[in-house]
Parts: sequence; C-alpha cells; structure tokens
Amino acid sequence: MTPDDGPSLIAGPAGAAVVAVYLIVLVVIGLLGKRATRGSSLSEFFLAGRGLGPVVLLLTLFATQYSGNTLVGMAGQTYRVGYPFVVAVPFFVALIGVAMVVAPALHRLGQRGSYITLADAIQDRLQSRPLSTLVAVLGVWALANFLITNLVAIGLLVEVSSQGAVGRAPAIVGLALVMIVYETLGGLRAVAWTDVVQGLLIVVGTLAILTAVLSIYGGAGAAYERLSETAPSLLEPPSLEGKVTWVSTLLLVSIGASLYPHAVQRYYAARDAVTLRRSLSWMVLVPFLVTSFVVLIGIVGRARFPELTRAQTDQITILILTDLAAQSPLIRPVIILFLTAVIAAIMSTVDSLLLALAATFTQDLYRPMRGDGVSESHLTRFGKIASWIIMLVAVGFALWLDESVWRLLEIKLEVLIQTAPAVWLALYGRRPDATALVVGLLVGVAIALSPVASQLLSTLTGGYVISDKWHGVHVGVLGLVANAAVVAILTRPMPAKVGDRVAPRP
Amino acid sequence: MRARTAIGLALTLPTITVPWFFTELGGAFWGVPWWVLYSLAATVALAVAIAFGLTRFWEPLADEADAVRQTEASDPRGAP
Repeated sequence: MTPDDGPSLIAGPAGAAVVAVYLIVLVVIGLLGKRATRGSSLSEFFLAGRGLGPVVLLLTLFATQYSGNTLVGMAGQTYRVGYPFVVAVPFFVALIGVAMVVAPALHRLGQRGSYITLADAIQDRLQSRPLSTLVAVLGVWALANFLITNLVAIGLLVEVSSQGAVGRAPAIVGLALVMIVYETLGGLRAVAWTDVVQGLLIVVGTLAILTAVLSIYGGAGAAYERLSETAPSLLEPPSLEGKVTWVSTLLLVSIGASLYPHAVQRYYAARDAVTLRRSLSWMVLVPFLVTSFVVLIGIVGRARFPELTRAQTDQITILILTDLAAQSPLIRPVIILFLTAVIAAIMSTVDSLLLALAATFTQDLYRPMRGDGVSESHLTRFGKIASWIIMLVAVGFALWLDESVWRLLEIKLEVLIQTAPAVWLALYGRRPDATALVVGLLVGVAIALSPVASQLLSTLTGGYVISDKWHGVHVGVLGLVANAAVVAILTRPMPAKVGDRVAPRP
Repeated sequence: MRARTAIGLALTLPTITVPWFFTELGGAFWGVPWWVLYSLAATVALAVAIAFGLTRFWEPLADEADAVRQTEASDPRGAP
C-alpha cells in the first residue's frame, strides 16, 4: 500500500471545512491581536509588549519548538533507525536544561536593556558590531533554511494527504498568505495566540492518532513480536559509536535549540521571571506526551509496513492514516484532526521563524545602518515590510529551489551552536574578548560547514567528501570544541590591579 | 561560579539517558525493550532534576549576570 491507494484525506468536504474554519480562526486571532496592540514600538510588535502570561507562553514555546518535523519527520526517522531514535525524548528535555542557563539572565537583562534579539545581548555587553552582526547572520542562516524546509513540508503534506486535489504550490502560497496576514496584523501577540490553538491541536491530535493506531494495529507488544522476526536490529540498543552519537545529538540539539532566535524572543516576551520559569518547568513534560508517542507510531508503522523505500518512509505517518481510513471510516474525524494538527505544527513554527527573521533584519541589520535617529514606528513598519519580503523569497525558494540544494542547506543547529560561547560569555564572562569570540566563531562555523562545502566541491571537481560525523560525533560539535579552544587561547589575561595580593592560604 | 556549575550540569547530566550498560536486546516489558525503558526512566530523572534546577538556579543566575555588569561598571579591568 502507498499513500495514493487510500481515500482522499482532507480534500473531502468535512476535511476541507475543518481546515477552512481553522484558517479563518487564525486570521480572526490576528485581528484581535491588532486590536490589543498598544502603540507601534518594536517590543510591542516583536515581543507582544513583553506581557505574555503563563498559559500563552507555555503553549507558544511548545508549538514553536515542536514543528511538523516532530510529528511526521521523526516518525519516519524512527521507522528507519528503530528504537535508538528514542534519543528524541531526552534531547527535547535536555534543551530545557540548557535554556535554564541562558533564560534567567536574558530575561532580566532583556527587560532592563530593552533587548529585542539575541544579538542585542551581545552588543550591549561587548560593544562589538562585527560579533553581534555575525551572531545575527548565523541566526538568519538557521532560521531561513528552517523556514524553507517547513514550507516545503507543508506543501508536500497537503498535496499527499489530499492525493493531489490541492497541489503543492497552491498549498504553500495559500498557507503562507494566511500566516503573513495574521503575523503582520498582530505581531508576536497574534503568533502566540494562534500558537495556543495550534499547541492544543498538536497534543489532542497526537493523542487521538496514537489511540487509533494502538487500538487497530495492536500496541508496542504486537510491534515487538513482528520486528523480532523481520528487523530485530531495530530493537537493539545502539552500538558504542551509536552511544557517542547519542551524546553528540544531545549536545547539538540542546545547545542549538536553546539559542534559536525565536526561542530567545519568547524569553524576552514573558511577563515576568516567574512566568517564564514556570512555563519552562512545564515544558519538560511535553516530550513524554508528544515525542515518545511519535516514536511509538514510527515503530508500529515499521512493523505494519516493513518494506518501504527511503522516500516512502518520510510519509509513514500519512501511510498509516491512509490505511486507518481504509480500515475504518469511523476513524476519519480523528485523521482530519491529526492532519490539521500537523498543519498547525508547521504553521506555528513557520510564523515564529518569520517573525524572528524580521526582528533580526530590523534590529540587528537595518537599525545599525540607520543610526540612532530612526523612530520605533518606522522600524516596526520596516519589520512588517521585511516579513512580506522574507516570506515571498522563502516561498520562491520552497517552490523552485532544487531539492538537492535545500537538503544541503539543512545544516542549521551545527551552525547555530557556534554562537554559544559568545552568548554564555556575554552573559556571565568576567573578561570576554570580542576578537577572540569572532575568531572562535569563524573557526567553528568553518568546521561545521566543511561537510557541505566538500560535498558542493565534489560535485564540481569529484573530490573527497568530508563526513558529517567523526567517530559518531557531529562535525558541528567538533566545531564548537575548536571554537571554545580558540576563544580560551586568544582571550587576553586580565591585567592585575595595583595592590592586588594573593590571599594567604588558611 | 553558579553559571559555570549550571552550564556543566546542563551539558553533562543528560548523558545519564544513554543506555551505556546495554549491549544487547535482553528482552522487553510490554513490548518495549528494557534499554528503552531505562533511557526513558533516566529522562524522567533528568526532567525532575531540570525542574528542580529551574527553581534552584534561576535567581542566582540572573543575579550573577547582574553582578558581572556591576563589577564591570565599577572596575574597568574586566571591560572589553
């Protein structure tokens, strides 16, 4: 069976109606966000006036962190590698641990110093425009390819699940239009409020589809018995190199995702420290509710459909939905709910990425060029125009960029984690050296990008391709180690103060 | 100093979730391999530790970032 064999899933009248109502609700929320907006300052537009309460903050953190890739891509990944992909549960928990290190300082200093972006924190402490611009540019890199891949994913999802009734291009353009409309109407306030709807849909949709999968296919026990016969290696613990990769993945995701510009925007936007702390505390529960279930869906899917091609494994969730719909028409509402949840998950990530990109272009790149005299309302207007331009370019890339090219651009966390030493030292370092941090960052990025660069070169010259892992360690993590080493070596020792004495030992 | 401790813990504690001592399948409970259950249980412990850390470290970390700024303002030796 393939996804094309079953009935159309969301193109039917009921599915189309649900999706249409959902999209109208999003635009209405955008209008409500606009009505709630007070003034036209940057913090009002990009940070919801720094007034997000606990429920909205929790759900916007959740909906932003969990993209369509979590619900669809991770099930496919589990299908391919088996239970070792359960690493996805600890890495979503571990990233809250690393966020715990930066969020308290960023929130307090951000409230006091009116920060809008991550680069603001670095510029405020180090007064180094090259460093803060470099951090902003790396943020743009990470966000831009995340944005494009999510747009591609949403187009494919709608096309496949409607069996071509809605084409990829109209789906991308239509949904992009809805997102850009509510985003420019209400800024982060609208994005966060829509995240509440989207976050609830993700939780309910995942629980509903898991219940359906377990009740029709049997639980983990049935999958275990089948896999023991057909693919026992998928049940086994990772090898030593696999365990090293596990640690490397934990580092890569927890450090990188905690510094995502759209996550940092939410640290600043929290109403107060207690609200942010409580929201992060609740976030540690989410991987158990969502990620572990997605892994289970991938395992059950592998047991049910053992012989899929690589391309088909990416559609395992859709394949399961199609099969469920063929087996029991009664389950159709659950399927519609889940597909709407996946669309919601992608949209909630895309709108956040778009807003963070617009904030970065406005605050970190455009504002320094215009100097101090430029008004906040002018910058906010620029931010809105920037959102439209960014979305236009991203949609163009999603529609026309060759898949092999954007696959190469998928490296984002490897690049983003290189900003960690600069951020940590800007917040807590006693004597951070901007030049050392710039050099370290460039070394780290060069190492992180070496596999992509060698792959591009090899297509031209047929040369050697550098692997993206070394003995199981991601090249990005190796880059971070080199980055930190360069910073440590190049940082000048703090000059001794006249009259300083070494304290006698007790 | 608290920041260093917090960063060290945040980066090392998650390694408890790696199924270091499992080299072969060794059975399952309700269809879930034992090593997966170990990893999930360790993740629960990690989640509890992080929730505790958020309470324990939050104010000290924010205060430390503040203190760094104030020291810098009063003692330009540390200034960039």
